[in-house]
Amino acid sequence: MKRYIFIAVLIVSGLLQITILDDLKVFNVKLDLFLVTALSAAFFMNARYAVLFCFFCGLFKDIFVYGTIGINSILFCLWSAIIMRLSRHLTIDNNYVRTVIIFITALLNNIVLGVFVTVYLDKTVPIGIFLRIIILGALYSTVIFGIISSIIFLIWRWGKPDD
Amino acid sequence: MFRFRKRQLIPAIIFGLSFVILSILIPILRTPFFLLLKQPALIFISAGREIKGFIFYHRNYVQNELLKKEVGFLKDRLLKQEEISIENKRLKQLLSFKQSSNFRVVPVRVIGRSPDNWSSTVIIDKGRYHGIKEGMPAITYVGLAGRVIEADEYVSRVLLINDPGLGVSAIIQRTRQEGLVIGTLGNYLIMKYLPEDADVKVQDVVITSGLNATYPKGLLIGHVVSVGQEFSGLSCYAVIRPAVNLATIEELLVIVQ
Repeated sequence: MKRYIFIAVLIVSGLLQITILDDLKVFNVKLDLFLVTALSAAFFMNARYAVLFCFFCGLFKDIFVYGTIGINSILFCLWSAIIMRLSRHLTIDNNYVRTVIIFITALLNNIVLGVFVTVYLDKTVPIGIFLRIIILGALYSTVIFGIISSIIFLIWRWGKPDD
Repeated sequence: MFRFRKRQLIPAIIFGLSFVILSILIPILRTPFFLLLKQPALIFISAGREIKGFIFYHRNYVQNELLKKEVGFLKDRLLKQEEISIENKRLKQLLSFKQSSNFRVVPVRVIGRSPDNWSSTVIIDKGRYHGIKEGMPAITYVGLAGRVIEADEYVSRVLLINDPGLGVSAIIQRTRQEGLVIGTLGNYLIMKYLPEDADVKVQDVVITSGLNATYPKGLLIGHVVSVGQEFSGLSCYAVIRPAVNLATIEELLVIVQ
């Protein structure tokens, strides 16, 4: 049941990301709902399903982005695996800790993607816009994560356990 | 000396293989995914438009009143333009100029946008079946919007002019000064490679030069907002506001001929 909830959340997130979210840009920076959904799964699901779910989140994003050759699929898997590993050493049940983790992950994700776009796709992005996307994108994702994770947590408690 | 051990090699091979597999898998999955999500995406876009209309009711009302006034003014100007156009046609015939043929366009609807911040693309609801091919320019009634970079059977992808991956050969309409217009991922474009002493002023109109066979000559790109010197001091650049509002485009016209 819970897995299906996450799949439904992923499809809705994907549709929102490619349609309406363009109107909700903050300083011309768009929210990455795929990343937020994937990281939420990393916090709530067990390790095996979380990595698989994150892979599908990344794959879904890669399908819609031009020329990324699957970098999002690999990155999302990597972030979820790191969070899983981190959860063994740290207590990440606290919302503040989660928020910090999300911010750092989003920041790293944006940096890797930015470097990839600049180096591999050979796009010259002005430094101001580059930094704005990296920093504001991470902040925006962190703020929205608070809302999304609350919704997922509510659904999570409501859903039947299946793992 | 750095040496690869077997243990280090395995993750590297897995990592490389994943990239290879994914780069093959993703283009195959693209078409069925787009087709599957075409209708839901259109529903989301319609819902979003309705919600926006509701939220921005007052702004739309004021804008509507202003536009009504502008329409009256433009009608008058259009009448005068038509007169000039007829006169121009007549004079061209007199001078035996080669008449430039009108474009054949395919109207398309935008069904999706790029989900990330690092590219500026839109997905359109028509593809090869409708005569759309890679490399064809996409315009709106206002001016140039982008270029088709991927054409599947029933859907295509258009790279918008504010993407840094798209360069358009352009000229300043007033002085015929040539340059290359490149996107910045932001709200503005940059016209590069202008000579140091280029005669470029704020509000100058920038159009396609026609030097590149991809874009027909004379398509409106935008207006100059500011002019600056390159860091090297050897050339200058102009910041351009695109004529087309790229954030809100819902329909496009793809020039197929």
